[in-house]
This record gives sequence, C-alpha cells and structure tokens, in this order.
Amino acid sequence: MELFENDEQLFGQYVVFMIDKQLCALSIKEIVEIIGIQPITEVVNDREYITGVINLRGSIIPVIQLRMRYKLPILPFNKKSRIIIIRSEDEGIGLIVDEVLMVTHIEEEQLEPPLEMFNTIEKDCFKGFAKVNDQLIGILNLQKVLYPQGSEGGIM
Amino acid sequence: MEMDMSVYLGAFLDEVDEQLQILDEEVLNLENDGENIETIQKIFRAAHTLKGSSAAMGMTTMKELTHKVENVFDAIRNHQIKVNTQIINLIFDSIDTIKLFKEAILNGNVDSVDVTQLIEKLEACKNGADSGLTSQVVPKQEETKTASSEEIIFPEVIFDEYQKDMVEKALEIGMNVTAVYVGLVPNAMLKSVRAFLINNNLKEIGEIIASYPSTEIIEDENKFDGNVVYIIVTESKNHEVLATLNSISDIKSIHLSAITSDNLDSFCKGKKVEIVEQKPAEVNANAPKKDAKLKVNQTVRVDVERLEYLLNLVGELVISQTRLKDVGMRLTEKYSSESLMEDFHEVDNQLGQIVSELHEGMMKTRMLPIEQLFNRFPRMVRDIAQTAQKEVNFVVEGKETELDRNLIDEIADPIIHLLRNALDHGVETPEEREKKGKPRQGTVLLKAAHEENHIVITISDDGNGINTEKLKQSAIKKQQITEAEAERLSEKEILFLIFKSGVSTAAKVTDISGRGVGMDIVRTHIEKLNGLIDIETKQGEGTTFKIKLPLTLAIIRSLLVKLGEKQFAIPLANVQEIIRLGNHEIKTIQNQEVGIVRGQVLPLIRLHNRFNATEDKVKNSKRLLVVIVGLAEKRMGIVVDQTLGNQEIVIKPLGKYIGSPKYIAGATIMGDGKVALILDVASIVLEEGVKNSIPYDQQITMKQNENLIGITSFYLGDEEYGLEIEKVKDIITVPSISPILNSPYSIVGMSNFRGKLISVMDLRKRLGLPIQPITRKSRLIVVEINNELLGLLVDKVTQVLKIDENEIKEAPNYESKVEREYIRGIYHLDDRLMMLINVSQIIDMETLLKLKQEQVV
Repeated sequence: MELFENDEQLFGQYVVFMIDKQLCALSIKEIVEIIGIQPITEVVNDREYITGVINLRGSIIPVIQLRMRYKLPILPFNKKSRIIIIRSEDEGIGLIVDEVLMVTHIEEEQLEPPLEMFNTIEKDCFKGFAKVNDQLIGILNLQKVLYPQGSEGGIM
Repeated sequence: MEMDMSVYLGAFLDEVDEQLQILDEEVLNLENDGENIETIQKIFRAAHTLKGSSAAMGMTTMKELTHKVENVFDAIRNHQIKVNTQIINLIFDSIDTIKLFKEAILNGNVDSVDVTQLIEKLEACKNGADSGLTSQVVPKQEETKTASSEEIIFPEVIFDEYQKDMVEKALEIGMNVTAVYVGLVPNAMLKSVRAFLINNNLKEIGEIIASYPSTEIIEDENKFDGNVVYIIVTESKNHEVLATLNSISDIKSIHLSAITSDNLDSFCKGKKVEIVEQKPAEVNANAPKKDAKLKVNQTVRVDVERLEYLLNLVGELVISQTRLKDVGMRLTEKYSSESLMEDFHEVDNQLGQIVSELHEGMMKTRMLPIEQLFNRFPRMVRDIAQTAQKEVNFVVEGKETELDRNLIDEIADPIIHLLRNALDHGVETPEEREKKGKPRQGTVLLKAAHEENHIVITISDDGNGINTEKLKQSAIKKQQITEAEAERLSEKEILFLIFKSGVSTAAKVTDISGRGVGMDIVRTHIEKLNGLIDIETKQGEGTTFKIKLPLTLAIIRSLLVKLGEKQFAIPLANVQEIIRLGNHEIKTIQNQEVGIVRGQVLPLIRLHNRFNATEDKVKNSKRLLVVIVGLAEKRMGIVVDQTLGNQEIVIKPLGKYIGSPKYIAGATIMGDGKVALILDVASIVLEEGVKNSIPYDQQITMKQNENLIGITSFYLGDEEYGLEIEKVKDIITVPSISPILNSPYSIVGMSNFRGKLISVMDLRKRLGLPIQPITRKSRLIVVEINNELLGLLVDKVTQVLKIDENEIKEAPNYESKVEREYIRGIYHLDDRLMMLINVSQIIDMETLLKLKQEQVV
C-alpha cells in the first residue's frame, strides 16, 4: 500500500457528498467552504465541465459541474445541490455536487486501492476507497479532478 | 547591518532615479548652454547627493564614480575647466554607468560594474583643470565630515566698553544676546562671500553688534581662515538662529553661546565660553540635497501594493454602491408611494457622488505626469540622431499630462519604437533636407494631451513620409499579402501594413531600426492597452502617429449589452457608436453579413452562438441593434439584443484555472451581484476581421474628416434633444428643490449638488413648452457653463451617443415649437431628429451668479 504512505492528509475528517449515485469524499483540509447554488454566469471555454463563474463575496470563482466532468446526465439543480469551494494554487474553485451528506472520520485501515469494478467515474480520480456503514466512499484526488490531462498544475 | 540597509534600498533607488533624471535633463541643458551656472550647480548637487547616498549605502565604487563627477563639476563651476562635447559625453557615460549600478543593485551583483576606465577619464578631465590653473586641489568632502569641532580655533571675543554697554542695555530690555561661532569647511571656496551671507542672514533676525575677526579681515580672502564669531542681539531663540544659517553651504559647525549678565565679564576679558548648542556636522551634507529636491513637489512615498489594496477596496465600494442603487430602484418599484424612498434616493445619490469622487481621487494617486517617461527621450533622441547623423530639433509637449502609472510603463516601448522610426526613416539627412528646400534641422514632436476620457500621444516628424509603394512591395515580398490583394488595398490600408511583422521600408537594417519587427510590437502593445492608433503621412512632408489610450486600466467605463438573456460589458473605449439597422440595410457580401451605414459597409458579427445565448429575438427582429466597435483602424458591428446603459466597472480576472476563454477579457460584478463577462473587443475584431474579405476602402474606418462629438440625449415631451457631453457634469435623479419665485431664465429653485448650491432651471419652461410635474423618469442634468454649475430639469434622459459634428444641420424654422435661438442645430438619427441645445444661449451666467448671491444673502 505504498500509495498511502506519508500522506497524512488522507486520514482524518472527510466531507462526504454525492455525485450521481457515487459517494465521494474530500479531506476537510482541502475544502474552504460549502455554499448553496449561486447564479452562475456561463463562460464558454474549451473545457465544457467548467460551466462558468460565480461571485463569492466580490471574488470571481470558476465552478466545475462534476456531473459534466464525468459525463453523467445533467439534472437541474435542486434544494440539495451544493457548491463545494476548494483551493487550488491560491485560487478558489467551486465544485457542484448533487448533495452533501456528512462529515465522517476515515481511518487508514478502512482504505482500499481503487477497484476495477468502478467504471461510472474514472478510476484515476480516486486515491482510494473506504467502507463506512457498509457504503463505499471514494476519496477524490483533487488534482486529477481539476486537471484531467494531468499535465497542468500541482505535483501528484 | 546588511539587513538594516535593505530597508533603505527602496528609498535609495528612488533617490537614484530622481537624481538621474535631474542629471539627464540638466546635462542636455548644459549641452545647449555650457555657461549656465544654475545648470552646473544642479548637476553638481545631483552628483553630490548621489555620492552621499551611495556612500551611506556602502556602495563604494558608485560613490567613487559620483565623487569624480562631482569633482569635475566643481572644477567647472569654479571656471577651471570649460564644458565641451568630450566632457558631456563623459558625463553621459557616467550617467549610463550609474544606471548600470542601479540595475546591478537590483540584481545583486554590484561588483560586476567596472568603473576604473571611466574614473581615469574623469580624473584626467579634472586634472586638465588643475594643471591649467594654479587653483587649489578640490578637496574630498568626506574628510571634513570626520573633522571634529575641537580643532577649530575661533578668534577671541573681547568686548570694548561701548559694546559691553550695548549688551547690558539689550539684556535689560529682555533681548537675547548670543555669540554665534561659525566654522566654515577648511577648504571651502569663497569664504569671505559665505561670511558675508552669514552676516546678511543674521541681520534679518537681529542686530550684529560685533564680529571677530574684524570685517576687514573677513573681507580679505587671503587672511580670513573661515572661522568667525558674530555677536547678535535678537529676539529669536537659538534654533531659529540655526535655521537662518542652515541654507548656507560649506558650513562645518555652528556653536551658539548665550551671553548673560553673569558671563558678560568673561567675554570682556576675552575668555571663550562653554558651548551651549552644537549644530551637527551632517547638516552641511544635507544642505545641497535639500536644494536639489526643491523643485520636486512635496510627496509621501507609498508602497504601490498598499495603494493597489486601497484601490481594490474603492473598486468594491463602487460595486456595492451600484448594487445599492439597483436595490433602491427595485424598492421604488415595489413601494412607489413610500415617501422614505425619496430620502433613500437622496442618500444614495450623495453616496454615489462621494464614491465617485473617492474613486477619482484614488485613481489620481496612481496618476503620474507623463514627464517621468518623456524626460527619458531627449537623451535617447540625441544619441540616435548622432548615430544616424541627423540634425533634429526634438520638441516635447504636454509633459504634465497625467496617466496611470501602469500605462506609463506599458506605453514606453511603443513610443521608443515610433521615435526611432521617426529619426531613422522619417527625418532625412541634413544634406537631403537642404536639397529638398527644408531646413537642415528636422523637427520631431512628441506630445501628450487629454481628450475626454482618453489620453492622446502624438509622435510626428517633418521628414520623408511613408512610401506606400515600397511598403506594398515589402509586404508582398514578405508574403504578408498577395499581389492581387495588394491591388485592392486602399492607401490607408497599405499604410497599416506597416504594423505587420517583417514589413519595413528601410533600405537597410541599422542597429536603430529597419528590421520591421518594431511596428508589430507597437501594435500589440497598444491593442493590449485597449488603445487605438492612427497614421497620417504625406510623401515628402512627414508622418504623424496618434495613439489614443484609456486613462486607466483597472476601472473602466463600459457599455452593458444583452445577448439573448445574457449580460455583457463592452469597454466604452472601444465603442464608437450604437445604431439600428433596418432589414433593407443588411446585406450579405461574400458570405459575410454586413450593414450599410452612411453608404459604407460595416461587417456584422453575431456572437449569440459563441456565447450560447438564444438568438430568437435578433432573428425575428426587423431592426437590428448594432454596437459599432473599433480597434486601431478597424470598425465592426456587434449585433446585440439590447443596450442597458453605461456603467463603471471593475475589471476582475477570471483566474488562471479557467484560463482565457475566447473573446472574453475578464469579468465584473454587476449591481445585482451577478457576474457579467467583459468582451475582448481586440480579439473579436482581429479574429472576425480575418474572416472577412470585404475590400477595405468600402468598409467603415476612421474617417479623416469625421469630427465626432459626444452627446447626451434627453426628452421633453415627444421631442428629443441633445446636449454636448463636454458641458455635462453629471446626470442625477431630481433632488429636493427649494423654490425661488419670480426669477429670470425659468430658474425654479436651488438644489444641493455635492455640497454646492446650484440653480435649477426648468428646461420646459425655458423653451416655452407646457410645464409638467416631476415624474420618476425626470432627471437633473448638471451642466457647467463658465465654471458655474446649473441644473437642467428634463423629462427623461435616454442615451449617450457620438455624432459627427459636420453632419449637424441648421435648424429650419418650422421644425419645432421651441424658439430657434436656443437650438444649435438638428441631427438626423436614423429614424428621428434630435435638436441640439445651445447651452450658452439659454442662460446669461452673470445674471445667474447675481441671482445666486442674492439668494445666499
């Protein structure tokens, strides 16, 4: 399990949210805040999953529609839809998710490497999986989510 | 110690900059007038200041160099050597080396600058002076700094009976009697003169009852050793006495001893009394520095980052204020009967004024006179002219014009390129010029001026002009255009080929210019700054380049438009005009949709698809709303659904994650908190421009004879009127008006406008139209006439547009119910007429002033 060594960030508090039927999680350290859906100004660009920008207290922040990122069917926003604001390279970025479920503690022992059987979402995007209350939660690899080609930004 | 110094490094570099500029400027003056004492003094002082500060910073080599320069100028001001070209070139070399030092300091490799050769030359230059004249060797001033006061031997002070009597009387009536011991720098020049100055200055604050040594000795340069004691009777305090002497240079020390009835006797016996107050020796070193800075306005140096931070906050404030206004509007719609709303709007207006003035003031802190930049050029022009063997009279105008400091940095390169071109290709050699019957000396003009919200920089020469034929050939050779294309081009379009990379008319490439890349850079730079550039040239007579730039970069005025349901902002700098085109005016030429505007072809761009906006409205509309945008020489029409008006917006970057989406320059936050995208007119015009193949001369371009003026249009009843925007100070919702009865010129009352009392005129009444009550759409247009403000009450304000002044027609008699004398003319907007008000005719300002005074009294 070489993958998880020296990666303290992986263990501790996680925010669990839903995309389509998949439970995903990000370490609480990666998340700046979680807000409701804001008016989004569409910005037509080369990466269609970056749907546009929002005004977060005077700052312009790009938002990623995670459903679009994984080529899942797009549903209209509802009361449960949320934008998770994360920070990457000193810049706020919003991730649109279907629903934020909970904050949970995930222990090292609970983690397993990505399984072949998950094909709904690119397997690359996960650092690993954890089983909590009989549900399988995928820990997202933020860099892979933001930069599918992998070439831009951040050290993996 | 190292760390401590770094704190001062910024201040030091600023000072170096300041002094270098003085040097550059003054050495050029010196070249014209080698005898000018003032100039020589200034250079000397600048060198001296640089020496002092570089020594303080521990830059020994730089100190060494500036010291030598100082020495040379010391010799010059003492008439030991005369200014010649060799010296001037030497000084220029020194200035360049100091600049190198500056760079080196920034890069942290001060030792890399070698000055030995230069120092030798300067040394030789000064020694030439020494051998030629039997004068004293110019001393190193550092020595004097270390010399302590104990070494000075002052003459003895011995009062005679008469003097003793005077002192006693003075003390009786409560005056101060002070012995002022002044020691001059041992090797100071003209000691007697300085003593005389000291004498004069002391006389201003009191009476001198004695001086030691006697006046005869002081006046004899050979006998006077520079140490003198004055006994003065004065009302002034010690520090005031010191202050009066501060302005005199070469004073090494000043000691003051109060004479009292207790110690008077010892003075009479000739005993030196203990020193009461001592003037620090450095005052001397500071004195010349102070002089050199006299011409600079009093300033506080502030970290740019701090300024940017404040500016950002003001930007936020502007946004919040706009939002507040928006909320206010919506509240009014909901609670139109609520009287509190009126108060709300008044407060909102007031706040708006303050915010806009705060913003303006903040922007001004970022504004610097372009002088800073322009001052660099005379030297450059001189050098280039010398290399190119041209004789040039370089004229600089409008140095005081202010613009954003970021812009100053950005615009430097284009100006340098254009000046180089003017010198290298424009101005002919003196011989050629004589043959053509022109004066030997060519003239190159660099001018900056404000024009509305823009700054216009003009660079013109009276040289050869641009040979369009050569330009065409060069472009064909560089395969920028085909020969067939070239045939179709208009003169102007050929001229603009000069901006294409690799195109050059220069027969040979020199190290100044001719490679053909310069103009490409000029164009890119100016486009980046949202600017426009125009060329005018006449074969054999010269070329003029005009660069038009927005005043500032961070906050811009913009036109808000709607594409489908989406809002976009277009920088107003790029907007030329807003027009409506009927179906019959829209044609398709070579697969390109175009509009016919005043007989010319305007390529149309539909951006709806590009931005995923619904096109239904513009598809079914019989009349298209088109915003004509311009970039450099190109004009294009963007089809929009609706224009929403002008607004000041703060440009915010989209951030690096999203990158730079096509056609988007940034984003801004609107009144309702939503984000609107700012269109990147530059890329739109460039990209869409490439696609269209309509012959240039049929397209709308900057018309030579067009004289566009800005107009604010408003309604009185069903008739539309226009007012020159130049005269309009502001447009506000109608504030409360305190009525005045029976006043002339239809003045209905007074109102408070930014804390000032202004008269309000009901324009309906003035123009003889039936009077109507104020409605929600009513506005007060505040105009400025002869520096006086006047509010004009109108029914509603519609838009701001640009019209061609030449197209204004005289008003026919029958056209309107309004008396003709108040109408300057009429202008045909495509489907309607607009009457232009002659503001100066509607009121006699003198009467207005009198009226106002009466009211105040």
